[in-house]
Amino acid sequence: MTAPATTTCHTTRRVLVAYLLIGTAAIGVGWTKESLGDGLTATLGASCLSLALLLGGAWWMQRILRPALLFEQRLAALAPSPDREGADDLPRLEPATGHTPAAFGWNRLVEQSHVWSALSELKSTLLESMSDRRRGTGPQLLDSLSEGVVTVDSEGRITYANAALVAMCGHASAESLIGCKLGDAFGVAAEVAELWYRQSANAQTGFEWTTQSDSAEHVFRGQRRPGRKSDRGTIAYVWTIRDITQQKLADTMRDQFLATATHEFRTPLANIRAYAESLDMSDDLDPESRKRFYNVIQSESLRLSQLVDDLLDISRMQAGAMALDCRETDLGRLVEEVSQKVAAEMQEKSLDYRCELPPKYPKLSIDKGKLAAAIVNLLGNAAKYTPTGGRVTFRVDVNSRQVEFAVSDSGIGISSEDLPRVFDRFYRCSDDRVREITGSGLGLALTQEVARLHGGDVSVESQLNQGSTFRITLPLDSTAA
Amino acid sequence: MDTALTALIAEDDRALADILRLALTRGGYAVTVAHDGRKALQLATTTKFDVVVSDYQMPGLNGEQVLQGIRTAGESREARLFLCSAKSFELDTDQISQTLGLSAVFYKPFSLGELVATIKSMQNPAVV
Repeated sequence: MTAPATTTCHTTRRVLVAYLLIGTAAIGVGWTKESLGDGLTATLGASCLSLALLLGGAWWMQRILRPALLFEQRLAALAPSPDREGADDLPRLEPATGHTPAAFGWNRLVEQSHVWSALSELKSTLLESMSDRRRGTGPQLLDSLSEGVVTVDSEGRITYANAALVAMCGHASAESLIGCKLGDAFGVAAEVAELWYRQSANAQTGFEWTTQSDSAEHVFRGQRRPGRKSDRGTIAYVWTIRDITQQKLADTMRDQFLATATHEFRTPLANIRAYAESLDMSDDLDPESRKRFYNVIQSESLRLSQLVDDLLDISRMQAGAMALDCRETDLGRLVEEVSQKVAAEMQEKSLDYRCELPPKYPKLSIDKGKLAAAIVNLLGNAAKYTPTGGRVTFRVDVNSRQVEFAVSDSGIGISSEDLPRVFDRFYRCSDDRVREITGSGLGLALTQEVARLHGGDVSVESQLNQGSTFRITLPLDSTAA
Repeated sequence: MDTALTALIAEDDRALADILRLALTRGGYAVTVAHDGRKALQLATTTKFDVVVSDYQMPGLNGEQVLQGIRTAGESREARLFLCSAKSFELDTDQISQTLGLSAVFYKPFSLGELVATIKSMQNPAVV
């Protein structure tokens, strides 16, 4: 509807016409007076003055009425019409035309209307979600959390459980949990759960408990917060519960690693210090003993250096930054070198060490240092975990598709429980015989990483007290030079 | 007389066992070395030693088990017992020391001179 704007235009025009008529009349009067015999100069002066007044008045009126005209146009734009719906896109006044207090006021009104619209929309959404709790946004959000969320009454009976909590308890649906005691839902002993209910009602309290399900142990950590009063006047609680089994496992492995790493570092350090001190304090040492002492210090330094390298490799591995320096390598020479490295260890334990090697090796593009270290690690483990007088076999097989390095021993073997985890970083078997032998739990993890970086893998077969076979397989298509 | 004193070293690291043997021999002890826990306990049970110096982490039996066995029965139950440990934060050496009546605990890397001096001073309470 444009009537108000038209009215204003008409008013302006009427004023202009009135001024024009007055001016014309004044000129007419002057002209008439002249024709009647008055002076020509006086007549022209009066006419010019009238015209100037006419034009000045018209300009002044237009200036006064212009903002009013703009507001009228904006308001007219808000009027309902078939072309547009509502008033959700109120037009702001342009800076060039809106630098008046009224224009600032109008723009503020526009901004406020946007805020009101947003609040109104939010209110509608909340009302909608609260009116139907099952299909509302709140429960959907709670079900999307990985943390378990549960509300209980003052007796510990569940009144609401989100999807994560239902899964933690091993139930099929939330309905089956409603009314159950929280402790029972997790299979927690009654005397332990009783402690939860005895805690101060208004305090925020944390609990940790362990459960056994599907022959696996799970550790949970729950935070209980006081909720609001229910209709019956009892205090309800909100629990947030997390499965921290993996976190606990990582903590245990880290502690084990720190303990082992500490031992591994301190033993060579003890040797270096003791031998250096002996060299310093014993003036009567014969040259042969002196040389032997220096050699011990040197070899223990190398042992420390190797340990630091392993730790750095593990760090790089964890950061995904371990890289290979692949070059064409004589595989026969690599096999010879690793055998030499472990020969003394095999001999010391009187192990029956055998190498079964192919007559011919392909040329491979590999990282010789890292692959040699991986094979030496497997051979070193075989020597460590095979009792004196046992057997260790190093076998290399080559076919058209792959090359396989297999290390078999007649050692203590690995239990079926430990077997799936032997390649985990820092993991050491639970067998007491393994605990008695020093090791960082990093070797097999590094070996696996090296094999995989070469496009291959490492596998293990083992039986407790029967022995083990570890195999590194490398595909020829990705390694052939 | 110092020359009459006997010492048993239980240490699986051969280099460290060798230097300990040398240091205690120079300190006037007749030294026997065992490279695993079971062997050490067996020797201490059948032979009287004045001093036993045992590593903690060893194959067979750990140092605590060895010293406990020695203290419980056998020829060396009156011996001065010393524990060498590489672990200084997770092992409750104070508790082990109190329970078994250890004369001292040495943490690796220890000073060889101090170790020998401590053992000798403990052997003869008059010498500090």
